[in-house]
Amino acid sequence: MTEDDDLPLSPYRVLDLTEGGFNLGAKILGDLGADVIRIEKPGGSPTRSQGPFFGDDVHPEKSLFWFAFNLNKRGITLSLDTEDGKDIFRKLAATSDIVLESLGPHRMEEKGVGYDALADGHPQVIHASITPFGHEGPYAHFQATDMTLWAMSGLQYASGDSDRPPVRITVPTAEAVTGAQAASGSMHALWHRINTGEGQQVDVTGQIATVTANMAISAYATAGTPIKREGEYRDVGYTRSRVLYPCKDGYVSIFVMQGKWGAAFNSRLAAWMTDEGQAPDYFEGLDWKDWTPGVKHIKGDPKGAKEDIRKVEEPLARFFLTKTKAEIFQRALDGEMLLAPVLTTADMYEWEHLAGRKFWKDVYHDHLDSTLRYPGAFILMSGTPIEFRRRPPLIGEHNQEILGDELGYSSEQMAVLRAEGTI
Amino acid sequence: MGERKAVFRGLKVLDFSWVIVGPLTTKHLADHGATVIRVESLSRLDYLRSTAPFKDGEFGINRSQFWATFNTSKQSLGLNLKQGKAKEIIWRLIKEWQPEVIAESFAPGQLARLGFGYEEVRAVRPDIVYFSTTQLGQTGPFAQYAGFGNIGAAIAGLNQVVGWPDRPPVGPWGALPDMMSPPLAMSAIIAALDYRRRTGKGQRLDMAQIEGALQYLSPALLDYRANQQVAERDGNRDPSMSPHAAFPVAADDRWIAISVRDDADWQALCEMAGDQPWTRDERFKTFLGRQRNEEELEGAISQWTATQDGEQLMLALQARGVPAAFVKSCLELMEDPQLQHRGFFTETEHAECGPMPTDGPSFQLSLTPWAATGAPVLGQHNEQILKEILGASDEEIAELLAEGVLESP
Repeated sequence: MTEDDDLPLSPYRVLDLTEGGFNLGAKILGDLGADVIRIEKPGGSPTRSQGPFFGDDVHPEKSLFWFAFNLNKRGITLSLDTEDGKDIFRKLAATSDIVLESLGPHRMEEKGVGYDALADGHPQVIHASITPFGHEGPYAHFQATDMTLWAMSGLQYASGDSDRPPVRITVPTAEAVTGAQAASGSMHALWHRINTGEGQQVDVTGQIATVTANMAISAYATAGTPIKREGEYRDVGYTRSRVLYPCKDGYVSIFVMQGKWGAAFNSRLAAWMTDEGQAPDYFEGLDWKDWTPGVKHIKGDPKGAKEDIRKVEEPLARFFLTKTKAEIFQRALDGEMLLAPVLTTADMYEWEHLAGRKFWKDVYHDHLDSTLRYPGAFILMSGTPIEFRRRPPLIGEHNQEILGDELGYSSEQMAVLRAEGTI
Repeated sequence: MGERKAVFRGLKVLDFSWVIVGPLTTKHLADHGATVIRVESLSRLDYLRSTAPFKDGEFGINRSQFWATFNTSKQSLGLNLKQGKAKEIIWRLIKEWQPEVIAESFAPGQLARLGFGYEEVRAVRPDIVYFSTTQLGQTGPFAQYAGFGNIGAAIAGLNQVVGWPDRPPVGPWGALPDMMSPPLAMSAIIAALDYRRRTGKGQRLDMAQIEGALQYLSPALLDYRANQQVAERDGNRDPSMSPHAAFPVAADDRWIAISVRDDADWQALCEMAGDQPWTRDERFKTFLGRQRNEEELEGAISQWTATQDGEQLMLALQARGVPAAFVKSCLELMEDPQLQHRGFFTETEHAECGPMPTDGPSFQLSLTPWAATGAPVLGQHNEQILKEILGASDEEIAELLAEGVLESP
């Protein structure tokens, strides 16, 4: 374990009032060493009711969703709806560098704890707000879920089988994607603060975070390139090619490039098929540098282009059915080929590469008397490695430590705060 | 107006990275004021420079709109790194210009073979923040595996969970892991810079893009580990909301995504739809009832939505507090009122192509706003960098060009 003082963000304190997948934002800062205080409403955060649950047991201290994004944080309960709660929050904010929240458009201001209130007497503070669409504008009041955010980012439109509705990513990711941008935005603001002493507001929206995750939207849009859902195929305007195939025990993903870009890879794949007696006659004597259906298409022969692609895709489909995911992956590594198995969450834990990098981190949960194996560091830092120094906090676990010991509230005061619903 | 306040003013970055993840990360630094020198080569051309769409539909290594939006605000130094004199130029930049950050996304070990690995650089610049990123990282049995983000989506488990349960997976469009890694990398790089400021110590950052992407899937990974539950694709359904689907609207192949989170959303949806067989059906009045009869319910609602205009229906449902989204194409996003309100889509001026489409910032900073300038043509800043930073004369520059050390098309 690394000493707390030795981590990149050890001098800084972060208050985390976000919910759901947005929690990833402050976790990133906690991983980098910040003192993150996760503030929940008295009784516990609604995020704790999000599944999956440990042992499939629906319990606020067993939400795996909560666990995943709240490592490396301390936790207190605090209401922003009582006057005492607001007062305590302002005191706490005065000791903090970054306040991250996802209450909703202008909600912090309405509660009297908006940026102006926090910056009063503490101009260095950074206030990062996460909203689905922003504080202002025609959609500012819109409600959002993971699916509707991806729907408004362009990603859902482009994903799915063409004969069925467009689809989401079944595992929710939009909020976490937004949380990560909030961490990055806060770090930008922190660097400015470090150099000038000036705090500021960081405005992060779910829609822009997901549009950003959808890559170079403006480039495709202004070119009029139709990005449409085509199942296992991808169409980039001048060629439509298959990127996913079934294999012996699952699925395989491939990226076939044309001309000189794909020549080396394509000839190695063709050689593998030849070795196994599965290459079609079409491959014989074919110089892959000249295999450019895209050029053919642009030059006015879309039919010929399609035919060239079909002559590669059909034998590939037959070939992959004879190979397992493991065989394909090993061969791709040895032969530098742009193909990979479609891994499942089960495959992932078994995969020797992640094990070889010591990616997985075991965290002991004393309250469950169990050890859980978590996805580890998001980046390896040679001087200041990311460690999970704290398991996710229990409800109000650090109330005494933070409100009592640090802010100095007496046990009598804490009892009143509890009775009036502040903590 | 005073001088623009930029977060990274004065920060210097020597950038050997290419394709998406590295360039997208250093772009953030550049758009916020850092001087980023992108070291490029004609003989090892950035694949993204040859990737469609191209300005005016015309192929050219300076015309990729994709490349242009991911490389704003940078300077381009065209160098043939196989030449000894090119290596000298790099060493002089490292020693004399003294970049705080080096970024690279070569296959592990490749930059070391060219003489600029972390150990070599650290020997003269112990305070360097040296950022490396590849699909699978610098170590581990598959470290030398080469791949793009589309394939990364398969390795990271994303492909498996997009599609229908009765059909093969189709994966998300694009190269999602490539977009998921940069905000993580940015946070780590800035943190490492502050650590360097406080302690004088640099370090090596090794980002495996797969490990970046897996952060976002943590709950699903823990679900396997704790409950042996493997994450699977399930169309648009959600285990805790019903209905939760994309429904057809009154246009060919157009859809509206509607999430009914609770009974209040359900009542609002029913009010909006008025007197329909499904709004009267007792079985649909509860979450459990809706979920038990989900397929039938989806079919019934589809008959109603199919008569509605998608945009209008979204506005009407949202006015009643129901999360609904007209499923938009990337072309339509350009007209999205909210993105327009925030001025998200913009243009930057490109030396060869004129105005180039450019995605806006991933977040807005109130005091130090993002400001991007056009992406460079290959080798655009050769002369400026050689003269202003290294003090080379016109003759020396002409010689380096003639010898093929400096490159520009």
